[in-house]
Amino acid sequence: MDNDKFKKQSQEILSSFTQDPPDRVWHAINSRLDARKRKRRILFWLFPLSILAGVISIIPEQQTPKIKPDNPQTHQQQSASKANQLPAAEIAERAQGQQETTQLNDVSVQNPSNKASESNPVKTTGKKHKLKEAYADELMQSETENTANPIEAYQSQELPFKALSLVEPVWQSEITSPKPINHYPSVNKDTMIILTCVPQKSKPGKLISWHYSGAYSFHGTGDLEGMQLEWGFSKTINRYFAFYNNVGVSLHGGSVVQPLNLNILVGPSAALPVGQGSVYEITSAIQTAPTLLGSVPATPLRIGVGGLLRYQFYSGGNGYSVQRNQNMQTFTLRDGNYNGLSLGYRVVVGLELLNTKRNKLQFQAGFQNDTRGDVITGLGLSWQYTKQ
Amino acid sequence: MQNEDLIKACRKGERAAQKRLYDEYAPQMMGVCYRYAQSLQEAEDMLQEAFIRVFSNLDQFRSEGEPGAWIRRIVVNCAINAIRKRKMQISSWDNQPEELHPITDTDPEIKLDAKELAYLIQKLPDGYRIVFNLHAVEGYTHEEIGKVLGIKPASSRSQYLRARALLAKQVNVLQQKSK
Amino acid sequence: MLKYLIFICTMGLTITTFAQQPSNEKQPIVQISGGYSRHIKHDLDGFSLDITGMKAIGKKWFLQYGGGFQQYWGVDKKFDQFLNSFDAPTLQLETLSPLRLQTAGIQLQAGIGQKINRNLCFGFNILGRYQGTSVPESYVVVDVSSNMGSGIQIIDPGYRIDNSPEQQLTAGANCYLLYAPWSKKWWLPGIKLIWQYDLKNNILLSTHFNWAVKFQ
Repeated sequence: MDNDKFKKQSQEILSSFTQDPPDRVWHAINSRLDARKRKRRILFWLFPLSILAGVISIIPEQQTPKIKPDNPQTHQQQSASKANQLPAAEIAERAQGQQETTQLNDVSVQNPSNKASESNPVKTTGKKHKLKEAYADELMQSETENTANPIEAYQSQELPFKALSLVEPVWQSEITSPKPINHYPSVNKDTMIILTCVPQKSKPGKLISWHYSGAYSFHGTGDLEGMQLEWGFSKTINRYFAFYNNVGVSLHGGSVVQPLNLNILVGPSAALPVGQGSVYEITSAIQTAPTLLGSVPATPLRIGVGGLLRYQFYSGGNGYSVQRNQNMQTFTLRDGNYNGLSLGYRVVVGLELLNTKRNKLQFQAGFQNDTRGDVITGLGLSWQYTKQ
Repeated sequence: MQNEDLIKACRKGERAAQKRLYDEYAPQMMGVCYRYAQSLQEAEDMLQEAFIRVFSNLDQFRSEGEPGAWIRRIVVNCAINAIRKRKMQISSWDNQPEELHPITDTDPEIKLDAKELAYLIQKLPDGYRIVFNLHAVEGYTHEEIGKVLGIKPASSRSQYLRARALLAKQVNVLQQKSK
Repeated sequence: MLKYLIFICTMGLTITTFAQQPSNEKQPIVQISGGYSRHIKHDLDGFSLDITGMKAIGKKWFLQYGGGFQQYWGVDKKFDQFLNSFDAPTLQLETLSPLRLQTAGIQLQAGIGQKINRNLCFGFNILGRYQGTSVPESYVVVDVSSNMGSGIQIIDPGYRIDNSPEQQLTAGANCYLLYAPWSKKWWLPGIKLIWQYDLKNNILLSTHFNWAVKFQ
């Protein structure tokens, strides 16, 4: 039949039709394949490394070793005797007269130059504790060496408890800083110091801080705008670095096209025209981004880099078409890739605005990208609170 | 390298194997894209997109058949996707009676070469071009085309006949000129 | 189905410091809860998550502060799916799709709570909320026709959006009832019912399971 003949001829002629594509087509394909490979490689390693670092950061730390009572504390002996400047016998008597309780010692030490100290015996109330026994033994031994300051005697000792000076606020603040426990400042002889021993819970220098952050941010090239909130905690590694674990949420939205606005022309008394609006896309997500934070020495700058795990909800489709008539626009929407899990990376730069003992406030800028191509940039504030 | 080994190597991401697969099938697929596109630039974009999808979805290819036919289907899909993105024109009117254009009673014998015929097809309106390519060249039935494009088979049939009539007229004109 | 899966995955257990008030009741606790939620205004189901810090200010009263995240989604049911797929071995053609309705919100809240009895607590919060939604105030499904050159009409289903959705920053309040009857040594499972309203007439109803962690 004629119809079939034309069709068959077309088929025969065109089945052998070939056209050599220019080299640029293969170059473009090559580049895209390389880009995909690079992205996969980076993201493949970034996330497990950051998760591993996060896990390591929360491994329980070793307890501070207690003093073995068998080891003679010669310094303690010296300091105790020097501090009180009492005859050794008297010290021994007092030590024997100690009551035993379940609490650790509360030791009141007065100025050695004050002879009234004799009327204030050393109070050592404590259960038969190994440390106390050792202390009592040492107290009984008299030493004739003189030291300038009784507190200095404690400086070289490693105690299982930390001593707080209620009179020295400067010393109090040193608890917050990552310094060894046995670093005490020198104390004026005339100052009365009350030493209170409390159980030490964590190794000194490893502080936990709570972070609360919020940012105004953009998703993509600025089509979608919104905000991010984040909550987390960080643990110091050393003086310059900390590891920060967190959970964050984000919400962004924007119109796919500009809404029409003919109301101005139509006037307030006329009926409002229909079809003026636009399809609106929103993206919302929950994410976690374990981050390594570093402080730049001698500057208020902090930089953080880490991986990202993000689950995003997206209302948009793969594409849309807009048809516009005189005063109305309509949309046809195409199916696409909506919600999904992605891996990525994040970079944060912060500038400290306020830094006190417990609180830090910083202005920060962040950038993140992931395997779904969601680029988010944000500017905001972060408040860090370190609890004692 | 056998086809099977070539496919395996491509799946592993070996660039040399992928280049070889591309070199083997790209000219033929470029011809397919040329027939669907409105311009050479658009044809190149379609081909690029198609081969990215080929390399990304190669694990879904069942090795029994020829990769050429499988790649061709992907290329056709990509071509139609690209045209739909810019709102392709296909007929979906259902009330038009199915009738032959008078000129189809005397369809000329095609004496053009492939490139010339492809060029004429390229110049057809979008809707005519898609349906003609799918039916006349790729061999899809009108029912299958109806599913692809979301139109009734009758509409596909009518669209094909009009496309063929217009193309036949253009072929006639070109052949007359070349004489 | 996914919503129920998320609901199950977000459920947890509650430590009650309300039932047992030891001397450490002044220590702050952090409560994490999550579960099914419904957005009444937009008629969408989803889930919500809350993180709340709590600090006792007496035997029965406590302060609370924290944040929340809500996510609701669905599709427009008025849209007839326009079957447009090609049964290809590897690929499908793009299909026309209905309008995806999605609403999400982030909020910060603070308030007080009271322990009613050993198992029951009541709380009230003032909140600031940021909501984004793709649900238009009013819209209709239309037949979108176009005619470009070939003289043929093309009919596709589409949308006419009369009023665009907007992102909203608003204030509101919520209250909840926490029921935690199962007593264990250090944790308690709890069920929380939450009702929330804000100035943009967004009403949310949520049912959460609670889990709390004590921090010293």
